Amino acid sequence: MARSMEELVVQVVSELNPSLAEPVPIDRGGEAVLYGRNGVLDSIALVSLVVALEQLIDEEYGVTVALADERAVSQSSSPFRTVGTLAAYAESRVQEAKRS
Amino acid sequence: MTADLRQRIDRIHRGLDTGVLSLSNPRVRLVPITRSALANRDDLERMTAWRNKYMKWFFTQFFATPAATEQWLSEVLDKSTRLLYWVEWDKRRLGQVGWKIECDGVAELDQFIRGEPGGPANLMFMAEEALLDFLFRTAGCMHVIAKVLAGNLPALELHRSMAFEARRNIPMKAVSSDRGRRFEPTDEAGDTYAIELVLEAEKYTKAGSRNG
Repeated sequence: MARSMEELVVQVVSELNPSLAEPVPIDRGGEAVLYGRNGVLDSIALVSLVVALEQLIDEEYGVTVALADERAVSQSSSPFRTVGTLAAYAESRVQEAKRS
Repeated sequence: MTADLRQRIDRIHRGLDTGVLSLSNPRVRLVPITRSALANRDDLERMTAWRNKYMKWFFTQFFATPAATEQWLSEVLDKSTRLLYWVEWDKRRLGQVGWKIECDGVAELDQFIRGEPGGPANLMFMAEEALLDFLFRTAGCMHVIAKVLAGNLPALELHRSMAFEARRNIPMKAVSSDRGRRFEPTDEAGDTYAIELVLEAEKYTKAGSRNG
């Protein structure tokens, strides 16, 4: 059984954490802040996270999604703000890809 | 744009006015890049290395050299409508930001690069807030815009966190040359697109700033 999207995001963040000056507090689950005014990811870490998550989604679900396209920007609030918002956004993109 | 502001930019470029933007966090400063950088090999090499590192996110993509950077910077510093800044953390240069006046009351953010690791993760957020404070409160801008190549996720998210809104997508075609390639707006189907974002003074003021 495939893991939930939040589990995938947490896995990717956990792998990224050792390289960060301040690790993402993944014990906060979906509320852990990623990118933004109060975030702990800098721009390079954000790109690394997104690329790694796209790869993991492909491996886990067999679906190719591009998380950093205009759709992300057109969301009313940033999908990259927290673990939870990213998981929800990625999940919506996976479902959409499966339908098409 | 007022004559006073033009004169001030000229003075800053010539090093006669420091023009430093201080933030609420005293460890962060935006220090104008002046004509003295043209004679500073370290500065030119730093800017060149950053430009090459993030080439894929620029509209003009070529392998820069210190000589090319010097030429480009010299042209920028001749304009009394543009300012570039080093983003400093504890006096270490970790990035650069800039703006240019597009027309009366409208400025465009430009040349945002987080060049080096170090300092807080939100360093560029603090830098952009300081720029916006300056543009809206001191320079009297009514709108600030930013044009970002699709795929430049950090820049898009950075601007959006300041309450910028995507106004339109601009199709861009790739034009190749001996030196590399550049993306230009096109009326036809493009090879990629740029996203134009806009922030109005009123909206920024309502959203609130941490540097005011």
